[in-house]
Amino acid sequence: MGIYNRYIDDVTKIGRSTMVLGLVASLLPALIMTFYFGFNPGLAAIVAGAISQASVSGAFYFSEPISYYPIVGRAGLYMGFLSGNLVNMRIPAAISAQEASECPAGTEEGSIMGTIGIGVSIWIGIVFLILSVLAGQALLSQLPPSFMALLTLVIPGLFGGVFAQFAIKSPKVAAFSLVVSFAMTKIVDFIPGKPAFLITLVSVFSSIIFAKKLMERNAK
Amino acid sequence: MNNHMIYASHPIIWGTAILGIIIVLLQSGLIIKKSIAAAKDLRISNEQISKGIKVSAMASIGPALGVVGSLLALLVTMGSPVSTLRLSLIGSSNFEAMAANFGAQAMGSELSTNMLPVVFTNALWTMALGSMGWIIFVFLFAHKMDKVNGLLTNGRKALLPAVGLGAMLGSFAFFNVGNLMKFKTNPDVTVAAISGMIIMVICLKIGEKMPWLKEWALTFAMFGGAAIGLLAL
Repeated sequence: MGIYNRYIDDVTKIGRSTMVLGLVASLLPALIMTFYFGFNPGLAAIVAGAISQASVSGAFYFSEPISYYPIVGRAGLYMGFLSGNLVNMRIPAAISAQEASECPAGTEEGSIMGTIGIGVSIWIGIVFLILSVLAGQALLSQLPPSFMALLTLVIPGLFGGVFAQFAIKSPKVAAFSLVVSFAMTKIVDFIPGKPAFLITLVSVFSSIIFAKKLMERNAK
Repeated sequence: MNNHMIYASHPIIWGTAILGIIIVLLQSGLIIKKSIAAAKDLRISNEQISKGIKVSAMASIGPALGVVGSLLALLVTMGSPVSTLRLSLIGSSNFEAMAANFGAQAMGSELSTNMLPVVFTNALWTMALGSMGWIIFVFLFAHKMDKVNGLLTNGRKALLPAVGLGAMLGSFAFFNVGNLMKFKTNPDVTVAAISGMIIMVICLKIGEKMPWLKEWALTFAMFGGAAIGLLAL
């Protein structure tokens, strides 16, 4: 068995067992409020809330892991979904680590470096959260509104930057994916229930197929 | 005593938050350790590894500040420990407020700074149950997804980089199309996105001669894009 296979087996064991622990931990506050402090909202309200939420996110439970798997790999899914904030923090960190170490995505080296990048971003994210909680609500609410407005614009700027970073590598695929995403956004508006998850799925998988065809043709 | 804040900042609730954060740090700590060992076995140099760590840390600072922004929105109603827990474990910044709201609405109430503890409890249930789907799906299927890649490349590993490139461009095209289409409602978002793209292109072009600029490109793109979006409008 190769180095990489042994590594990914280890990661799978760590990933799956910590995910079960994480699931339990995420339920704890609700369990404690209900059974220790005795504020029971009743099964009907609990189910009603969960169903409202699942009707919005339900399709994303499937479409997001499937769409992001080709980008972050197995280890990335375990880390990204346990810690959240996959597209705005984990993916940019993964590609930054790959680019800086010159280990391209799609290789074993690249996937290991991407995983290290994701792990680093989790620690950075938690350090910032803890610092801001320690700073306290009172202090944070003193920040000027323009600073808060700047923070909300960081993510659009980031998404533009990440797209351009890859668009440079293959302008044709970039143009193709923009057209497909735009068309799908318009099409989904006409489908009852506006299933937004379809946009990502179609956009990701048609771009993959297009990129593959292009690479095959260039190889000839 | 019908204010939920007593419970929202109760030491036991703090305990659950700390436990959750420890699990996340434990997972990533263990996986980082395995990854560095594997990287060395694959003969990736120490220099490459530390450069990867440094640059990914830098790229994480901007988004981390963005998450802090959404922490503030959540803090006021859900309290510090739950907000910290939710934004470190499973949740993401744009999901949590919506979930908490659904939970409160299911009790015929709404999120506020002064809720009945039972409304607060239901918000907690919705946040936890509403995000379980991702964990369950990844737990069950992540280790079987190699087959998807195999299918996409017809088993030819040389095509894997094309798969990654297509997936990146496909998903980020969607986010950008969303931001570009806001040019009427939120023009600052559109300007930030376009400026981010332009700054990235410039940094990468100049970066061919000055390699350090490439490492900072993403940081410049996100903060520069945000600043231009803010100042232009």
